[in-house]
Amino acid sequence: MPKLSTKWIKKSPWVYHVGTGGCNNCDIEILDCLTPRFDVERFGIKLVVSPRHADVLLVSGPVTYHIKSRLQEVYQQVPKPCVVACIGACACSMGIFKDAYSVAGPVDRVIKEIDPNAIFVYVPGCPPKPETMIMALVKALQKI
Amino acid sequence: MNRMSIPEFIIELKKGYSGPLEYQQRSEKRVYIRVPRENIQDIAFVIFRKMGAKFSIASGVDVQKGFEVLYHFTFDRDNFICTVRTLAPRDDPKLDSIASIVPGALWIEREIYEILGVVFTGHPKLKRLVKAEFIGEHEFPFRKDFDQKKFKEKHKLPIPK
Repeated sequence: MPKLSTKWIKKSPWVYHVGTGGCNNCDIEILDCLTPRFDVERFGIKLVVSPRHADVLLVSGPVTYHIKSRLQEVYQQVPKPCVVACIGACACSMGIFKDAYSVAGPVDRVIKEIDPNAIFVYVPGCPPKPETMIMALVKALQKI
Repeated sequence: MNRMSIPEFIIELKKGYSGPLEYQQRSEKRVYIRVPRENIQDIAFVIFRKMGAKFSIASGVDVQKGFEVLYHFTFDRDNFICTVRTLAPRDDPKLDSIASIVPGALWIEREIYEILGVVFTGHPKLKRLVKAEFIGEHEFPFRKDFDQKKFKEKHKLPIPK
């Protein structure tokens, strides 16, 4: 792992938001983090529009068969090292959609198919609080 | 502002629509209307075009007699919701499409078609919308007789313990 890139991630992690079939509740809470009340941009956490600029992937929702290959493609485009944050109960463990006809698996299982050494952080809750997400990112960046 | 109540709405509705009609008022804000499947286009025309309601959504349910499709119309100014329910029998699941009257119903009718198997005759583009590609055209996951175990065995998916 190159030292320089690790240093930059710790200073200012840029996040990219991937919706993988959630109910939009977690997505709204992610937006809450970015708006002035919590304002994560003061810590340098910034939402970017391309996975090629991102250090952290925020994934919300159980992974459906439709989105499975797209999620893997997005993950491959992110410069490594990167962190995958599973936001919400569905992304962590499929939640109430377990065994449904259209769900391929939780986020970690889908991404481990292409990269067994991926780094994950789990934020359970339906939806998780913005404070929890900020806490999770801090813990994940300490681990890198 | 003069708000229309639900009994007034029923009287107004019967002026424009002359077919058979059965209604049930659940509360001040909710009324259910049951119509035969031949008359669904007529009642959609009266409610949507003449009375100016908003088309909220349609939903499909598998009930004992067949497939019930519910069209939810919202009267925002008068503060109530009118649900038109109609039944497609199990051996002949066909309904007239209301997409020519209500353009917003295009996609929801496609969705009901692919996961419940109700065929909307007269729909301009009745093809699949959200179902995963590997699921067959005649597999309808929202039907009561859909066997999850057989489905997963057929497509070689992991079977839950």
